[in-house]
Amino acid sequence: MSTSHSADQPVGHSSARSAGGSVAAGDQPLPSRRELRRREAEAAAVQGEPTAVYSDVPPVFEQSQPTHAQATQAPPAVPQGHGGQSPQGRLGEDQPQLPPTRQRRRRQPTAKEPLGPIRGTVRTFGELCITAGLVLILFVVWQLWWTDIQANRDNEVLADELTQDWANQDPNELSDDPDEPVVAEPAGKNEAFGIFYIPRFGDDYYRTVAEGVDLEPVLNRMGVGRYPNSAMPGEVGNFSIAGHRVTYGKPLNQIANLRPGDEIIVQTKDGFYTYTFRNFDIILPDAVEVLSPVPDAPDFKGKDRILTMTACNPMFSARERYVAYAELTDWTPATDGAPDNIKDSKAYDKVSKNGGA
Amino acid sequence: MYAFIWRILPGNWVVKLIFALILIAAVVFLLMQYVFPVIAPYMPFNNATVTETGQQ
Repeated sequence: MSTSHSADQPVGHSSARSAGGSVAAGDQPLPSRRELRRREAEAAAVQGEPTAVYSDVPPVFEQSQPTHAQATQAPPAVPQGHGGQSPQGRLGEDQPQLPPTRQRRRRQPTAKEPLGPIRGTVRTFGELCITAGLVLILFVVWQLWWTDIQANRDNEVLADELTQDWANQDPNELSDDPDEPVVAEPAGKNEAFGIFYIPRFGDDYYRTVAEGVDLEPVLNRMGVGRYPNSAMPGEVGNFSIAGHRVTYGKPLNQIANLRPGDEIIVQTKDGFYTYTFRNFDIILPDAVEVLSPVPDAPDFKGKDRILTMTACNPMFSARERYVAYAELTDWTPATDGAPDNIKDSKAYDKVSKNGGA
Repeated sequence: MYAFIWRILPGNWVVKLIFALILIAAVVFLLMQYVFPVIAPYMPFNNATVTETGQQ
């Protein structure tokens, strides 16, 4: 360290001396840039700190700028050490060991030294908090993004299986009256029995419908679910279904975009039931009377074939339910092919190509 | 906690990093496959049905 100390001395002295001669040197032509910078810094230091005149030590740390500029010649650690020790600049002259102690002190925290019990506990607690936050973020990602991916994949697989099953089954016997729809056969619990097409929700929209309204597996994996004991497609009464409006493939995400006259086509083994959207309502979660054959009037038997769809409202909330009512307006047996409005849609293309129904 | 895990992982830092990534992937998989589906029904935005009680 004694070498760096001796190397430091001339630097300070030379800069102090050049501070005195700076006025005279100003007349010399074309001083180097470094020289100019040094002079500037020195002038500033002198103006800012008049006491510098009385000692040759303060200029050493006051002029840390010029010493930095000269640091290309001197080892860089030395002027920095002096600049950092500015409050003890005078002491620094007598105690050349200060810079190394400082360096040692700075290195200490990075050394592998076990934390005390309190610091260790605080750090672990902090890490647990950060971990909890990350897990929550992961949950949101999973809920909003991954469940959609999973459910859409399940939906495609299920629709394929369903149409393949239909291809291997005989359709029910048609009634003599061509306008009289065949009533779909009841399905077992958690069994898919139909496919929804809603052109308003997109050209490629199709979702399977299964029996039951349990979250697992029906609503979370099988598209929309039929309320048990409600009517089957084509049956007089209320064919009621429920579906997620957000997450899990969000089959009824756009339920609020339905306009009167929009068609909702339900395909089953027997054919295509075309329901036409009439109106919607926003109700409380316990308003089960919307599922009755005459919605809101559970005492009446009803003679219409109604489709009721329920989803949560507003989105991401369980406060209310959004209900969409539709009425059966058309029926096409499976042998006649798909109705015109879905015949050329991407959704029907996909379903019919895979299953061959 | 993480410093402790890092310390008990074997090998040099490359091997440690690989082990750490495997551990993270395992935790993420376990959470998404088994933990989140269990707590999801308690979230307020998964109710789509009307019932007598108003609950799912």
